[in-house]
Amino acid sequence: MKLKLPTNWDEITAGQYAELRQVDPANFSEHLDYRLERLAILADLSPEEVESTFETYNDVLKLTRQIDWTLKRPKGKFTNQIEDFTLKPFTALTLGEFIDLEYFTSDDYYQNAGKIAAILYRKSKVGEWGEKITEPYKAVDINERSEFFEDQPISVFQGVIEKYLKYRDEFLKKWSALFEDDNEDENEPEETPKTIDEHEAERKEKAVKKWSWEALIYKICQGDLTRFEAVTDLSLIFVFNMEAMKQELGVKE
Amino acid sequence: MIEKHEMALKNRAEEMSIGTYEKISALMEAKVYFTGMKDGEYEFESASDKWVEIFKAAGAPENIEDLLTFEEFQELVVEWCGSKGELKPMAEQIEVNGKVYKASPLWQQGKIPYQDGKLIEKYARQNPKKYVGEMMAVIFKDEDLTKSEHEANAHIKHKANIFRKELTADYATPYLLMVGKKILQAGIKEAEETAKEVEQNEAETSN
Repeated sequence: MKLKLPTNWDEITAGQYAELRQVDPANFSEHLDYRLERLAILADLSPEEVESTFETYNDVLKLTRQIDWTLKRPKGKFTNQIEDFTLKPFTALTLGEFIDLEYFTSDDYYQNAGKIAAILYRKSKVGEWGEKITEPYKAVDINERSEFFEDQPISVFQGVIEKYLKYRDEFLKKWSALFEDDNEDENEPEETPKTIDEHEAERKEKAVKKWSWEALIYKICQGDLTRFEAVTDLSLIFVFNMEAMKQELGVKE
Repeated sequence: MIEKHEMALKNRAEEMSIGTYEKISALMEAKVYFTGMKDGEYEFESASDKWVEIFKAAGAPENIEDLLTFEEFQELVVEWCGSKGELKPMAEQIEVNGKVYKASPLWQQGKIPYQDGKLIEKYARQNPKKYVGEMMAVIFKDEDLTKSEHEANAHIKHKANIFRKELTADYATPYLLMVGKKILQAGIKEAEETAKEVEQNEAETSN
């Protein structure tokens, strides 16, 4: 049996790429097993099935060289349309979508590429007045939708994740003041003996930072959790604009 | 064999056991102190110290330094290195202690059988200075054993120790040439390059 291996990124799905990224040579006692694992992922077979196709040692080296290019990252391409799904402009993201994207991009985002794509690419239709209506986020089953995207070639939307991350970094930089502690004293020496109250205040500050998104939503809801969904449906830019305005004008809750 | 100064020094593969060959090969690769080296970066203070150990492994007596002048010692080094032996053709089978062991015919075709290569790579990586015994144990199989019995680590180690004592190194050298090129250079080198590539990729992703 001859192994069928991909020759370019258009032939590797997002799911396969996520699996490839998890394969670390440091986790294998034998380098040959590492090679087998990678070949198995790309050939969509078990390592044993792959191994059974080898007659000589050179067969392994030859095949490994054939897939060497997959050690590099795919180039940042993407399309605006993937079947029925259209890329949502980043400027139209809601607070809820943004918060979920923060979660899915927090670690090795390729492991969550399907979920990220499921948030960014959505169905849309033209409304009665010719306006574009995007599928509501709450109507999307992220886990189910991500399975569709994980079966798509990574080349089709990998670039959009990188583009989004750049947008996200610039966005947060612009609004960084919203996450800073107003009472922070830059001149305070680092090593001063702390009282019990100071320890308690530091503990609360850390807790607030940990829960910053929840704290933001809680603040906007003004403690009324029944408004949670409505708040997360608000436009991200609108929410941040309002918070910045409140901070500047010293508006108290 | 160099027979001089009341000594008999083995210097050809057919004159020494695989065990002696491994010992001498490891000594040949040992580093000698050079200016700037730190402790642990070298095994010998001087080249003479290294060659004394090589000659002892090759059959010289413990008091070799007392038997030679420095000039005689230097000449002996040159003569020992200059000897050229003939490369024996690859044996298809060997007999050790009355038992016959056979190699896969792929070796004679210039190819390394996959399972043999996999095991040899493993032992070479585990102990780069002492794996020739294991290499021969992997290549030459007892046909009465099943595949898993043959590949069992304990069996390979046991057979390797027998081969180290009973086989001369000229049986190993033609196989070593192929293994050196196709597994050590190609396979292990590729493994190191892959590890570097993966590390670089991780650094780029985290940036």
